[in-house]
Amino acid sequence: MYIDNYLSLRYSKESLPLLGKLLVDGKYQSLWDYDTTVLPRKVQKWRKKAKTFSRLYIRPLAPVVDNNPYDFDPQPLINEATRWGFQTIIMPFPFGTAALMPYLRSTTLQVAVIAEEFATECGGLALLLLAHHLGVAPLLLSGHIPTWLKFLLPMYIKGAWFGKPTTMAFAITEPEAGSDVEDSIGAKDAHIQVTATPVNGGYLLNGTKVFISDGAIADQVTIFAKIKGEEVDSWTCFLVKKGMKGFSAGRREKKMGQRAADASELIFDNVFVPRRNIVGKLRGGWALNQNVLNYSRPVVAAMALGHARGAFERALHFCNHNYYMGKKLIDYKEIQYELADMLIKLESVRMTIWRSCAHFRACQSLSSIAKVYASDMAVEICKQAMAIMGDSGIHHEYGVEKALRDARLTQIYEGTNQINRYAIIEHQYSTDVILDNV
Amino acid sequence: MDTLSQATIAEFEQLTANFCKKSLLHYIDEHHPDGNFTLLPSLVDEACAIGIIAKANASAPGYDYGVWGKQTIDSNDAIQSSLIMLATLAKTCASFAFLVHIQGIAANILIRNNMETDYHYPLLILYDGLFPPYYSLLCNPSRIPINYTMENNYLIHTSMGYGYNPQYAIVCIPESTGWQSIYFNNTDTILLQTIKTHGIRGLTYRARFNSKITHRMSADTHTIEMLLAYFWLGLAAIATGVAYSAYQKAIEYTGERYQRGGLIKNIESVQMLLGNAKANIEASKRALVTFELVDSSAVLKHAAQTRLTATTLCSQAVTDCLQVFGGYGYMEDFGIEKKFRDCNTLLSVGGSPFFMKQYIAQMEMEE
Repeated sequence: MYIDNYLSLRYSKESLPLLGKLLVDGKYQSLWDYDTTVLPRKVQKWRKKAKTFSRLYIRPLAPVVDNNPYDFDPQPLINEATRWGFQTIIMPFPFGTAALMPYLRSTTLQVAVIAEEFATECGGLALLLLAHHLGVAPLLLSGHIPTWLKFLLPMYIKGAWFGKPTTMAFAITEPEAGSDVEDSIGAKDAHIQVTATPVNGGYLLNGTKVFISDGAIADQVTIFAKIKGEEVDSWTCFLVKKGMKGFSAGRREKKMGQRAADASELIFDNVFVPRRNIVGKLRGGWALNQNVLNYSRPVVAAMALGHARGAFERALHFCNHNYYMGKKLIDYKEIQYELADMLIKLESVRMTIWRSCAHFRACQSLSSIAKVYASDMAVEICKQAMAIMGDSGIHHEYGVEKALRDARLTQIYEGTNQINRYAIIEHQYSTDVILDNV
Repeated sequence: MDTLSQATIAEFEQLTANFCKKSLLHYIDEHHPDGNFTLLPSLVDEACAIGIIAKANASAPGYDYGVWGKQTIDSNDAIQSSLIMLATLAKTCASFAFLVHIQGIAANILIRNNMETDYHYPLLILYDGLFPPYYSLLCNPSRIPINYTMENNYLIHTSMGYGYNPQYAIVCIPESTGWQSIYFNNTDTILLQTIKTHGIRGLTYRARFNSKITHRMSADTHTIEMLLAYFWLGLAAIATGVAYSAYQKAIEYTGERYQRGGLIKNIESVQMLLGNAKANIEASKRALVTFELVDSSAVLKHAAQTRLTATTLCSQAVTDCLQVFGGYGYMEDFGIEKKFRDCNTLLSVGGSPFFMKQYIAQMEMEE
């Protein structure tokens, strides 16, 4: 029950002397607002902007697209997101729209912040917009300025100045190589089948990639292939453009959740890729892949957080407007207890993610910790949200069951949570704190 | 009164398994991940004919020993037989098992009141609102706020109900004098709207009644408690069947899928997932088989505990099994995502874990 008398939080501040008042906080304010204030000023702006965008453009589409993902044309939404600057946020000026000073402190925080906002409204549409950054990440991490000038600069100019977005996708998974290509131990035995055969002036790509987010709609794809006759250490990243001869999108998967974003098969049938389209170094694919994953895992964690927050917010709204035995649900102590429990988890997840983004360079163990913790907590929170809504929790119209379906994927992609646990230990394996000098 | 030997229960299980293998298996295919509803009428007819589905008709094969048939009123063994049949059906399709479960409970209400019907498909509304009434209110229905109007033998009411293309309806409602089971012998005047759900799709309706009552049946608290107990136990049994089949699928998959240079069954993290799933499923099974008919409030508490334990453990087991499949588990083709959705639906419907914990605690306090 809301209290506004001498026992209330507000009164407890007002009754203090002046200096005391300055030291305490008596505002009834959402945690979203509190958390926003700890971000750098320009990131705060992105957070607010992303929230507005999500409410205006993602929220109305979410239930419709979840029901009919195959009839959905994503281009207008991508155009709008580009116009707002979200599709170029992975780099600062002159290659993108990210704010420079916060970027120099953390390369991933701005993307993570907008990811949470998008995913709060819809997991599928969030993935649709964010998978693009995953496709761009190898170009960025190639660290090769001519590559940036050749690919990133035109992409930024086309998108930000002319409102014509270039959508990218990232293709590593193959039918016989899923988790293997996301883990350094598994990779040495990975059964990789997409090959690049050297020919005059470039390479011929052959094979099939699967489960590629945005694969069917992407204008360009960063794809990884081993050099024919060699092993995974020859893995190389190539930039393949839509329309290249022999390159096509195959079957679109029917997914349980995040249905607005396609997960497609990409078929490479003697696709000629010129040598200039090699991203980074020849045989430098594994290094790029591993570091892209370290960059993207905090963002996936933020998406998981968004799914959970969406479930929480909808459950809270439901409890405020529905009655059980003549009493509002929110007025039951046991409901309040559950809601508080969900908020505790949400806050701890957000702090873990923001902590993992607190460095200029992505840290492998922190990225994986954020991803595993956020996705596991997200599934738990979504189940709690369903539970407090009783029989209505399972109804599609309230959006909470959709959040659970969406959140479940975050435990799988970007390396299953099991693979991520290996990644954490791989990074910490050689540390031995007990022998550290004091 | 125990009426069935273990051998007879095993025969019922075998009968159900044969039905699943011969007929129910075709209900789910790649184009109909949630079931091909056009096949449902013939499947229901067949299940009725061989006595799996209980029907409120003394000449029907399932009258006595179908799921929640007459004998379950006072026989532990008949209850065990019903639970085993539901779990067996759920191994193939949880939605069909749920439909059989709902039909059984509706038939049980009619059988208890010596009523007969030839119809197959009920709309069942056991309680109104988001959760069943708390235990104290269940025993004092006069204290439950009323959301309906009943005048001149008409019921005006909106509620959520379960069934499939219902032909008759049963609504349990509280009155100042006690519980009533209201029977409608047709659904022509009930406005039915299908609600899309997380799992067990196609079987949930929003029903608006402005309908003439066919028959009113008084139900004492014990009867309502028993019906709720059946409802919860059935959900637990279905969840156990779903989890068991998810586990079987995961085991098969680990023997086919190669990663890290070998079959994934040799990968430690996969083994941990499977070990956890197996332990959860076994615990759930044990919770089910230890259920016994005792005095009425203890029955309900026992059923609540069984349901809470079984559905929670099975939900975890299915999520572990899905994880074994990696990305493939998330796609509709392997059928494991349906099991995930179904199991989470069984976890939430008819009193979610959060509610069950409160319920059990309240019953403990009452004692």
